[in-house]
Amino acid sequence: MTLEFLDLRRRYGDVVALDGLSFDVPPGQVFGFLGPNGAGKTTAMRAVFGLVDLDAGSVRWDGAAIGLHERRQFGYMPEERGLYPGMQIQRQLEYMCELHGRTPADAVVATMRWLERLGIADRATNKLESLSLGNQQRVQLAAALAFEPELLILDEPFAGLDPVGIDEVTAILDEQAREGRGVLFSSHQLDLVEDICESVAIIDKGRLVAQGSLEELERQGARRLVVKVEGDRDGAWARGIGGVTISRTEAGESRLVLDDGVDSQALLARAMAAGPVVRFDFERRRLSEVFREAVR
Amino acid sequence: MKATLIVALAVVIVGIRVWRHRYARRKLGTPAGSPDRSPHGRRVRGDVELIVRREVHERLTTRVFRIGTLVILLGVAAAVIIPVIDKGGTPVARVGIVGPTTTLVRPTLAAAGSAQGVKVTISDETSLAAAMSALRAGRVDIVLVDDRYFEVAQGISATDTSALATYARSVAHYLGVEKALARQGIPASHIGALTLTLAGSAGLAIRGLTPAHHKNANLVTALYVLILTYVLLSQYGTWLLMGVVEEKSTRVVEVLLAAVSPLRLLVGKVTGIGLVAAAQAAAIVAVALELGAAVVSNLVKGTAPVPVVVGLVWLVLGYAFYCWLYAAVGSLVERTEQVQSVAFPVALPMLFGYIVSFTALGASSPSLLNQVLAYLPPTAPFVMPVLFALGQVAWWQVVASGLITAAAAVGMARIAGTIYRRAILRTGRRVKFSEVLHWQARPARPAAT
Repeated sequence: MTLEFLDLRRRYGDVVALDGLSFDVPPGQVFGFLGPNGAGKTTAMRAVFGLVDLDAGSVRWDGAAIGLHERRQFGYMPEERGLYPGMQIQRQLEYMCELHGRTPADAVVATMRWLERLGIADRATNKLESLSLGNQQRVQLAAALAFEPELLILDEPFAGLDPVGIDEVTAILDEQAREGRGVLFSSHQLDLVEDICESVAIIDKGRLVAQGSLEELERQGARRLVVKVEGDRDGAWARGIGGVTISRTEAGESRLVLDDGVDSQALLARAMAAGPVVRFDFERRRLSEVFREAVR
Repeated sequence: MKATLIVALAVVIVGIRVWRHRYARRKLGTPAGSPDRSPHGRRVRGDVELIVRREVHERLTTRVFRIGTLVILLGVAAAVIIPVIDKGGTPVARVGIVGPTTTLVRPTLAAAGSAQGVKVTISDETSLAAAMSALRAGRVDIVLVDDRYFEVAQGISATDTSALATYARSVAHYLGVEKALARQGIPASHIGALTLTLAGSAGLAIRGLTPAHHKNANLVTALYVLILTYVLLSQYGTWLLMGVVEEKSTRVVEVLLAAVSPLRLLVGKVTGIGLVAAAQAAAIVAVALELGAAVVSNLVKGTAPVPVVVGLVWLVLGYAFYCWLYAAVGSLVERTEQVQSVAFPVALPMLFGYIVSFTALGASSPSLLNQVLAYLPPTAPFVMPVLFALGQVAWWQVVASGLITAAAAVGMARIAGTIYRRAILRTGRRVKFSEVLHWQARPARPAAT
């Protein structure tokens, strides 16, 4: 089942938070939701749960409007988190499970399973506030996952996690997607997004500025070539070639940006003429580059 | 009396359960409701029920609640026990006798004292003037004049349950019966036995040198009900306020509202805290009655059941009115440090009603101000039960005022629901009333976008 953002619009006075935002989150994928601060990511995510009154547009689930019944099947982790600091962890998770329509018995089983999975089962009867921030983050994730939602919406789920925690969460999100759930999450950690996402949507000023699979996005734009010619330290062989721009030279490797008409084979011949070619690779754009270009 | 209280409490609890069940049922058919069966056929609890259970459990298990309840119970126990201890030992009735008496009088005076647990001393006064002088000087408590009537320093009201009043009524009754029998020519040797069979005959008159106090046992009831209502409403309102602020400041409300509608979250919270409040209030009354009975306290012995029950009903009505107000102002606050500034305006009408009600306690008839305030929902929970306990209003006036307050509570619930829905997700600063009460008010920008 697909989550659809359809022409979302929301204005706060003079500030435009969402400006006709539209994109789909397919099932069975880890989907990255990117954008600079204030781009409208949190507003869009809150709109899924009816926490924002939209000026126009709608969020749809499986082609239909989302009501409370549907929302109870979605797991949500808000950016500023949100659990009771003074409540026992186990009771808290059971409470969240039951609020999402699980029976008391199911809630108990699911809670213990996730606490064990996240390595905090021994703290089950502790109050949330007694845990470290990282462990509180794990409990928050468990609250979004324990009732086996059909869709996960996570606002900055990696913020505040140590590398071990990041690996844990990454594995869990991957597992959730492989089980067929849609996983939409926002993050500013682009390297991480690049590692775990299949697709991303990038927004800026409330508008969609790029969307697609990572492979598509990284292939888009000008071709990039990395060339190393033995004996040539600063890419002198490539200077003056029409349609070729040297973007960077480092340790004898030149990164070239090729215009559409440039023949790579002719370029290879020019490099070989300059000396032995020890590297001649087409390089994909990094997500960070895609992002910067998109929001420029 | 205790049975009445227990039945009243049970009716309230059953009523809440039935209402909640029907409310949940009505919602089941709509997307806002929750299914009552899981796919496996097991029962799923309704959202309001879950919220109520959480509120009750979390409240009962906190140290603050347990210690607070203990302190209140100790306070109530002290209020019941200390006057008894202070009164000290066996009560004494010093009886003066003026004029001729029959041979039965002295044994009857002594026997009535034994029956009432009162130590009786009898002195012969030389003249009526000397007896009245002794009465005024406090050397005697009661004077039998010419075997015809009793004179006391201050008149005794029908509801006065002090040891002297009880003794005076008792002995006046017995002597009256004995005189009636003697007039019928019954021999003195038979009169003692016959007296007991003639209960209900007219006794001797008891006159007071000064009129009886208006103060009576119900005055004490009114005072207790008033203090209890004010203290508990303030406390429960604060619980609610802090509960709403906690959910907003920790952002847990955002997670909750993803699964529950704002109104149902609010109803669950108000009901949960209300149940804990009702349980605490019942415990306080039960402790007061049990201890009062155990130590034979006049304060509790004279407490009439009806004013107590009416007081508890008004406590519920007061909670029903103020709980929404506290919840609404709680949703305006961003941090716990801001609580004081919004709580004060809500507490003002409570304080006003409380203070004004004290003026009713000392008056023989209700002032115009009290009569008006008894019908205004913010002050009626304090004024009306006091006026009722003092017998200064009729039952239909209590019912009318109760209906007005109940209707106002419904209206307040609607307004509070709107304020709560519009304000609870506004973060970043304290929300003004004017922002959320505007007809076309919209949620403000969230903290992050």
